Amino acid sequence: MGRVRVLIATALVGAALAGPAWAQSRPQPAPRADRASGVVVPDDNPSRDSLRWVPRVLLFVPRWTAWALAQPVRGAAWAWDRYDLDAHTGGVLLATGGPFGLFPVVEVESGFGAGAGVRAIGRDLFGEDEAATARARFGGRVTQGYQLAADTGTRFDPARLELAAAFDDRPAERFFGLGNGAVAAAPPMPVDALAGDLAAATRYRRRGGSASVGVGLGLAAAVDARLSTGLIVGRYDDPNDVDRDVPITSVYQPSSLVGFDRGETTSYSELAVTFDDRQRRDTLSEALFSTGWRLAGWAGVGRGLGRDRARYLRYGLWLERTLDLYGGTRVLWLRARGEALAGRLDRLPFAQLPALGGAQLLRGYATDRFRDRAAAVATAEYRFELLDRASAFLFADAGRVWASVGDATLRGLRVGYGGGVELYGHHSFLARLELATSIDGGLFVALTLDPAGDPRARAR
Amino acid sequence: MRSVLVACAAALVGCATASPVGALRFANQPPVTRVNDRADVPAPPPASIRRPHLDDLDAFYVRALTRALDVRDPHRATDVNAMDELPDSTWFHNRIGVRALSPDELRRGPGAADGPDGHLPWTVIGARAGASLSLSIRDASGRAYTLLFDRRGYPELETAADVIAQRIFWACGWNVPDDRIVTVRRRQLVVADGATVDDGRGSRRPLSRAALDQLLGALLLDPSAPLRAVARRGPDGVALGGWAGEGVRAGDPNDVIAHEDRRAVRGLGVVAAWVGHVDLGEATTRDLWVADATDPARHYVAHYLWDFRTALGARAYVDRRPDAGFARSTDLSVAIGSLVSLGAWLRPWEGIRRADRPGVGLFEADRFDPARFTTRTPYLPAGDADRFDGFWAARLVARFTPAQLQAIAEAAGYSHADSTAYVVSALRARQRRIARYWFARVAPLDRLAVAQPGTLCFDDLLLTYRLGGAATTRYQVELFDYRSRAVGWEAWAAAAPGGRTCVSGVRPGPIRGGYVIARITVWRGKRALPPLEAHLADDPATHRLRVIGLRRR
Repeated sequence: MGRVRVLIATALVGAALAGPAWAQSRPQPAPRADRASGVVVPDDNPSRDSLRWVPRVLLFVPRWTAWALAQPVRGAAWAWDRYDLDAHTGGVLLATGGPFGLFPVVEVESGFGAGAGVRAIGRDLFGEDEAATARARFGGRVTQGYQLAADTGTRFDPARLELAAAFDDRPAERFFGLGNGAVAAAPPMPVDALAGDLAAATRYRRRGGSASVGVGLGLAAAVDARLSTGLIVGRYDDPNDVDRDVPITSVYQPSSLVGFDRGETTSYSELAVTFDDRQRRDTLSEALFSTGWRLAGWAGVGRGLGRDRARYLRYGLWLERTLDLYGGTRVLWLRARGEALAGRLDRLPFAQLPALGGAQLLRGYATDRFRDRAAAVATAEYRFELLDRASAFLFADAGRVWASVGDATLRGLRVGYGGGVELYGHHSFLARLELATSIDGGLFVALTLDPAGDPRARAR
Repeated sequence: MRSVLVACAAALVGCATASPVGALRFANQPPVTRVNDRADVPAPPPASIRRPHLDDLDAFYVRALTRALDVRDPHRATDVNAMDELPDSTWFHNRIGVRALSPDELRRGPGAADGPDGHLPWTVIGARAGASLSLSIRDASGRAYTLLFDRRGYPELETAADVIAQRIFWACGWNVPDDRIVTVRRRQLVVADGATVDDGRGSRRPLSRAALDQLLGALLLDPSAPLRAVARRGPDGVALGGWAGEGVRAGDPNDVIAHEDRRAVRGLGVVAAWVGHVDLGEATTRDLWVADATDPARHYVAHYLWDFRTALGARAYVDRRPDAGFARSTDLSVAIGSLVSLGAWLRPWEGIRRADRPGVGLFEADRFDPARFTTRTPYLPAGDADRFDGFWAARLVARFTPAQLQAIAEAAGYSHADSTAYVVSALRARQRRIARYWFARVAPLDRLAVAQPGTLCFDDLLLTYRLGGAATTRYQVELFDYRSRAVGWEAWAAAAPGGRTCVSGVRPGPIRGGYVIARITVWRGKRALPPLEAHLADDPATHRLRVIGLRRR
């Protein structure tokens, strides 16, 4: 039977190919490109898997769903290219290099929700590294917030003149009392915030701003001094949404919250000295340091103006060591930071007291979870590269606050830990997602999309 | 009707045989060495518009995902002839291995004997600034060139990379522009009236002599030194943009094979890996609507590779991206690997050091892995390439002799002989890695021919290029007739010295002009490579067996 079939097949092939094409000894005229194979009987294509239709059917809906979901993004990309938005915006939109950049700002922080805004950056404005930045944001921690900053770069090298101003309205700042205590239930009657160690989760509203002028001076290759003076203005109230939030005055007597009733109109002058010899690998973003030391010390005097009776000395120390574990792409970052406010207890504005908790200091705790006259935090952070402009990090923070520097003890340390990812441009930090928790529980998320535009800005 | 009959016949042949050789049969004719894709295209087809954001989005994510979810059947390239070779076309013109390429010819490249050097002064008609500077000029004879300069602080780097990679691709067979190194002195440049400069961000302003001097001065650390550039000249024609990685060009009736099905496109990845052409993609290709050289009234679309300046590690060095060639510019698999290992995974490019040779980029061979090379942006046809495309391209790569590579490197005009020697050495080492890798994935047999009646000879390229395996290699040859039935003849042969082995006793089949299929299995020790099937039939003119087709399994 098989032989018969072969004969039939052969006959059919012969019939199909009868004619001069079968046996030619001379080159034929050049055929079309898709007729060059010389094949007269196609292969039985062993590479075709007859069962491949199964995943194909199963994935049909996901495939077209993915395609459909991608269309809005594709449309945006198409419009970007079609209308050449790079050129129409002067090439400033999302420009991490060049003289100008315009960036969206997004912030999501546990306890505050999401906010967004825009940041404009000017770099090297007049050819001497002069920089300026303006930032506006809305939602999240602020109902509205504005910042302006400018500096003269290297124009007056080694001196550098800096100007800054900010205003924001923060409708629901957090206050947990003074001290290192655990969160407790709100008492039936307001208590003296200065006398006790009661930690209750309350909120308050702060509207205020600041303006400052500073002069930085390069003292040596890695040593800078910065002298600044400015004005801090703040007005305090219960939070906007008293139905949702526990008002600060329902738990703490307003009279014990220095500055709450009268507001804050304080002049503040500070001298800071910094030694910074951190280095970066030239294969990495300028926003990433891979080795070196950074030491900073500062001392400043705050003095209330008018009805503001504030008077205090603020001082602090920052010690930072960056260790290159491999090629600048695996880095161990160690940090210790301490800060204290000295002065009479009734002259220390509650909002100016050193605080721990949030996305920067003592992560894994709510923002401003701990507040007192002295605070210290130590950090060990392991950072490793994911992509050329993306890193992941794991960290552990430990710290606490004390009533005074003399009370400092390691007992009762609060420990937070977590990890996250960061994205960079060539020159600056772009975005960060951080997840943190602590030995006391809770999960805190912080998402920041806020290109600093200047790698130094992050260090400040 | 004819196709139905063929299909029926194929099905019956397939049913009739549980044979190791498939149903494939070739016409008894010489292989096609040239296709006609030069049919007249009276008007230029619409130019493709590059949309960088959309293209990148598609290449990195959308098409990558939808292609994966399509679960497509693997399929072989369809622009090949019966010998699994590329015929000459507007895409590819066989050169190395098909005709002699002397070192002088390689040094000279594809262009005319004389360049712009002998036709001074050069009139600058436009400039483009930005990350790097280019000038559009016309020499004294009226020929137009584009001058492409090295970036400040990277003398010789990109110009040398361009010329070396350009000559290699050209020698392989692809179309490239005429790129050559020239020395530029400011006094030989004249600014044309109406010349403008594009700042690279879409803004254009008049180009004055002072502005030109400023642009040129910005390139050099030493302002008194002469400048070096690539002078590029393409054929006269209408530029249509790059060729797409998928589909065909609308309006070009000659473009009848989807680009992702073309070996001329799929095979590019292997050669790109060799020379570190990490920016291979639509942006570095160009289609041109050109006049036929023999009949200027007729036009067709010719397909060119256009820019190679980031090859040979130039991209990795200039952009400080040591992962160039190892990972995409955004490579989620690398990110996931690093994340899961918490950074403990030592990625392949880590620790690579640049050779301290002037003008040489981050280009080396020790960490080079032909299987892992990748372009910065996904190049979809390279992803469709199979081991047959890889072998075909690797064979091109292997054909370059040390003398030819030396000549090509000399064309780059390095100021230090050390640089030339280093590049040749790195290319040689990478060449061998590529050949070893791809020659292990198919039966690497080449130049199959019936040398004398009954004797089938072939080259084993692994042995030809002395890549090992000589002592342990044997060949098993079995014969099958047109009906796919074993004819009961089998021979074993040990590898001959030099790599060319002949097996005697091959006899014609009983029907169809002696049609017979020689199934050759290459044994390396105890490991058999996928076999190669050589289809033979009597030449009607000589009545001697000849090879009419090949199929690698």
